Amino acid sequence: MKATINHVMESWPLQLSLQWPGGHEQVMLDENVLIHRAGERVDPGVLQPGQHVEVIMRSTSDDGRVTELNILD
Amino acid sequence: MKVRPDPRIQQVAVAAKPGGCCGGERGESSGSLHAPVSSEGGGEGSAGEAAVIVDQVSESFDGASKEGELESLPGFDPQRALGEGMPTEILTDELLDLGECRPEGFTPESVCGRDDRVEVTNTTDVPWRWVCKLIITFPNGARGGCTGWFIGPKAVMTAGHCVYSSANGGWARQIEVIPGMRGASRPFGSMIGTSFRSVSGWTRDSDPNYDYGCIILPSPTLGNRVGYFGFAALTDASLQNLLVNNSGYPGDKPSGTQWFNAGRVTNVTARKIYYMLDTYGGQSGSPTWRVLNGQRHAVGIHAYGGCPNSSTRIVTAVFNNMMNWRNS
Repeated sequence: MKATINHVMESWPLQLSLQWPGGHEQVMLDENVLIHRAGERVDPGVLQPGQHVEVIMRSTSDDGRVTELNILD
Repeated sequence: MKVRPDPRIQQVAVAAKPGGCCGGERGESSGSLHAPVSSEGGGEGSAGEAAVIVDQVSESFDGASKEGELESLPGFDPQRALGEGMPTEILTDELLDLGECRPEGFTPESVCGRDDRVEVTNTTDVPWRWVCKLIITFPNGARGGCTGWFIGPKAVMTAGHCVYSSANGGWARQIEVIPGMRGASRPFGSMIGTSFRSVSGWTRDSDPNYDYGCIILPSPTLGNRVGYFGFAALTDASLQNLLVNNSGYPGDKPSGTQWFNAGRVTNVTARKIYYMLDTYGGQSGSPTWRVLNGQRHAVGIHAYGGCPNSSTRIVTAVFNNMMNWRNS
């Protein structure tokens, strides 16, 4: 599922405001989230507004945290 | 005393304890998005200007010394930090190249240029003891960390998304407040808050311009012991290029350690303050403050990353809500 980051809220873990094709949503990252850019793992701190991302996996528990994310650009 | 602000006049109120005071001047009306809401349900009165008891100082207070001062902390390089906040037209080529000199993949974007953060080791001193590590339990069971700061005996200011998270089911279930935490040490103990405040612009609309909130503690014991920040609503002119300080509890450092950074405000909008200070996840809710003539006034509530990083600006309506929460 692809989205654009609208805002990066600096709680820990980070909360993101994501713009999906059909609307927007606020999500929280998992503390051990896997974030990759061009195949390399990167720190959550690289996330910025305007980046296109793909949410690869989310927690199946109630909190629905994002556990894996790719930065597309 | 009720005072209608003169746009040319700064409002100043609320002495920090110990020292300090605060102010506000921007003539923003108390729009409905600043309408305060409570975790106990419903609103709690207006954010109107009449709620503020103020002293006043003249605009001449906007003189050269208005530029503000930086906190002095061992290991902190103010010249380097100030370079990152310079207007771009006066940046040298060397400074412009800073971003390309950093190690790839390891410098978070919310750390702008070189990582200038320094650890605060004397967290039992003012102002560091006013800054609190927050351990949040959300209604869906998720846990998170933020930063807060005392503004009154029972009132701890923070970001809206730290007390109300739509990603995690709404109002926090509880937040543990730990002033001056340093590693495993809790020099003043801690207190758990279950009563929270924010505004409809955040809880209803998720508008980042209204991302601020407050924790109301069950007792004034902790706040009376550590003291609290003053706060100020300043004009655009006063905020532009102002030297500001920030300290909080980032998630990329050893657990429970407080980290400081400082620099210049780079941009000001109606409800936000932007800067290149280095921050990281976990610092949401931390105070962005100026030091002027030895007094400290928070001017923003840090909330967003991305370089420039940003605070929710303390404008008049925010100031008024803070005054009401402070007096809870």
